[in-house]
Amino acid sequence: MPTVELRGNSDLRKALRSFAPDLEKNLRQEMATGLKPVVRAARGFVPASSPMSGWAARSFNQGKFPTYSTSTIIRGITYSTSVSKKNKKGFNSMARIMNKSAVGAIYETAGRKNPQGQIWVGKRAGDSKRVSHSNNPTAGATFIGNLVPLTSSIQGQGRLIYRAWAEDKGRAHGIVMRAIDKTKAEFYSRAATPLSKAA
Amino acid sequence: MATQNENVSINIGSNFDSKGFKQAETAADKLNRTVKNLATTIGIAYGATAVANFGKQSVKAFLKDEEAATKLANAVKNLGIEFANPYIADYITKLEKTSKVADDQLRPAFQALLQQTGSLSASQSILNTAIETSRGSGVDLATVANDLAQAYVGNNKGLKKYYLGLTTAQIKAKSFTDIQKIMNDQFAGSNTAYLNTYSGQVGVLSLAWQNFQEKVGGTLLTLASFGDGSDGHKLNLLAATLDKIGSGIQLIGKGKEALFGLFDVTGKNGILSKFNPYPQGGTGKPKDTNISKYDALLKKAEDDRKKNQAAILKSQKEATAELKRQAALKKDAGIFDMQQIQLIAALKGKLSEDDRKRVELQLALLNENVTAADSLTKQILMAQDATGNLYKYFMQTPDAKNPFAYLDKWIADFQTKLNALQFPAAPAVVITPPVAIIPPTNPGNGGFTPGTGTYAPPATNVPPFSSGGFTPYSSSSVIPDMAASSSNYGGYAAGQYGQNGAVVVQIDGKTIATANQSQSLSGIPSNVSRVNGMFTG
Repeated sequence: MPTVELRGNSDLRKALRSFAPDLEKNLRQEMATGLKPVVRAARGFVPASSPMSGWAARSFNQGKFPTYSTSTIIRGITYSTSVSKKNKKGFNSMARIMNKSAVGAIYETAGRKNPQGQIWVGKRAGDSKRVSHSNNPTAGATFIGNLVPLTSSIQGQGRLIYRAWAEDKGRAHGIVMRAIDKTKAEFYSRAATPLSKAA
Repeated sequence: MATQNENVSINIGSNFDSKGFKQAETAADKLNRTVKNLATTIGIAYGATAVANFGKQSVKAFLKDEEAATKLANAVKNLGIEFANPYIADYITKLEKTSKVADDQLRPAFQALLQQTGSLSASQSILNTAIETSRGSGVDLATVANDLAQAYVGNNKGLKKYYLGLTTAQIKAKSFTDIQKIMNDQFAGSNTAYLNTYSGQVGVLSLAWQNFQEKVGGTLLTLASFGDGSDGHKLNLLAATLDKIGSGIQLIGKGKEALFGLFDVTGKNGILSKFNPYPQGGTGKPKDTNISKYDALLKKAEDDRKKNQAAILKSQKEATAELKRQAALKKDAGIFDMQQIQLIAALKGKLSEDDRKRVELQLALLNENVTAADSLTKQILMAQDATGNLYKYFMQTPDAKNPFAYLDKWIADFQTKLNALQFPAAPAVVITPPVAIIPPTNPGNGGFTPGTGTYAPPATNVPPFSSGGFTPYSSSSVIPDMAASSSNYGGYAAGQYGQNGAVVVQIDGKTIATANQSQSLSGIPSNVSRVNGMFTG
């Protein structure tokens, strides 16, 4: 009897959609059950107003640096139960929680790589984005200092989704993984069952 | 924000998706197999092409070798020793084996020597010397053989490059026998030494390869001619033959033995050897190499050659002597110079006494007869001036070599006279004191008396200041005629500036008013605005 080997998440989800749509739908629902609380908690960590008055939204903004917007950040925090595209290392995921907005990403990760801000070089020192070109040499440290401290989780450091993930203490991860395993087992179980003759 | 999202997302159930990698791996495997197959195909095709190229080169090598052999055989034939051809071919073959010099080089060298010397033995001896010299000096064999062939007939010019330790004069003076001995002493054993070097060994290998090519070329031509059974169209069939060989190699594969068998098919033991019309090596296998029975003929040929050379030498000597004689005659012919002939002819004519002496003087000068020239010069000068002053003046004429030599004495005399000059004493200068200046009587107002309007200069002894030609200003005399009716430019009379009378300006108010009205009616804004007082027009 020929066997079919499902390699990776994509094949599994394709197979589920093709041969067991109900399992695929159930999988999505179960994963969402685990992810929604995390997203809700993460949205709750978004400050109602800008941590700094200078970062607050204004009527006219010439700069490229996005101004603070609570609604934008909240809208950007979401989850997905679709299989993602492969990253450059060849990995994809069955589900994920995302902080998609630019301002949300800034609030989420500021100070993660450089706790005291980027190295200050001033305006006339090239155009590298890995150094600070601000007029204020301590701008980066001041910005980070005005934000809440980073929270470490098993997935990394952050202030919103990572903090929520850390405080969730693995419950969401367990729900998602259990749902995946269950679905996979069910799917293989169905595939292994010989077709019975029609009555 | 794709990059940021990668960092700002929590991925759950991540798994390595090897599908793409597997596909890539499979594709790479397929590509490898394809490349291998392609390489195999290309290799076979390239191998066939290489064999075809080798075949072409082999045929070329064979044809070149055959051409050299034919040239040598023909040269030998023209020397009258055609019977020696088998012996010469055998000699060349043996010499090639012993000296490891390619027969392609040996044949032209030997041919040059044989044609120059006419002697088989002398050519062989000189060729041996040439081979050693070539190996020892690094000069190619053809050049050495040519130089030795020239030296054999006395032209030692080319031997300088071999650094024989002789001056140019010594090289010229040496006989060929001496030269050959010196070269043998200097370069003996060079060939053996060279063959012991790595380069020599490579050369031996190269020689073997050349011979192999020549044999293959002969074999290929045999195969080509075997197809149609005639001597013609060999080359036309060669391409087809090579193609067949390539196909055969493809079928046979890479087996060396098969390849060897293919090339040896018409060889000595090949199955088609009896159909091979060309002898191995393409040089014509000598059938009888015993030259001793032709000694008498060879001696006769050599004697004939020597006799011919002696005749040529004699002829050359005669030609040289004739040239010398002609040169002497040419020199003697100078005696009959046209100037002398003309002077002598003039003397034969009817001349006056004075003219005759002049012609005789020219003739004496032409023949560099000093005594006669002096005598005639004196006679001519005395004839012109009986007092003898002209002759004396002529004799006192400074040396023509330095016409300014007399100036030295003149300058010295002039300097002496200049030094002897005495200037008269200067008279004493008497300076009288100036006259006392009397001041003006009324220095306060400068002589002006108020209320009178008159000016009376004060009494003084100061002389009046000269005007120096300055004419005081006069209005009636400097203003030119500025009348509008004047035909001159602007009232100035040409060339009379400041010389005409007073300027008379006449203003016609009616004319001005008419002109202003016309301008105002012109519609020009600046003229119209005059009314508003903006422009004054």
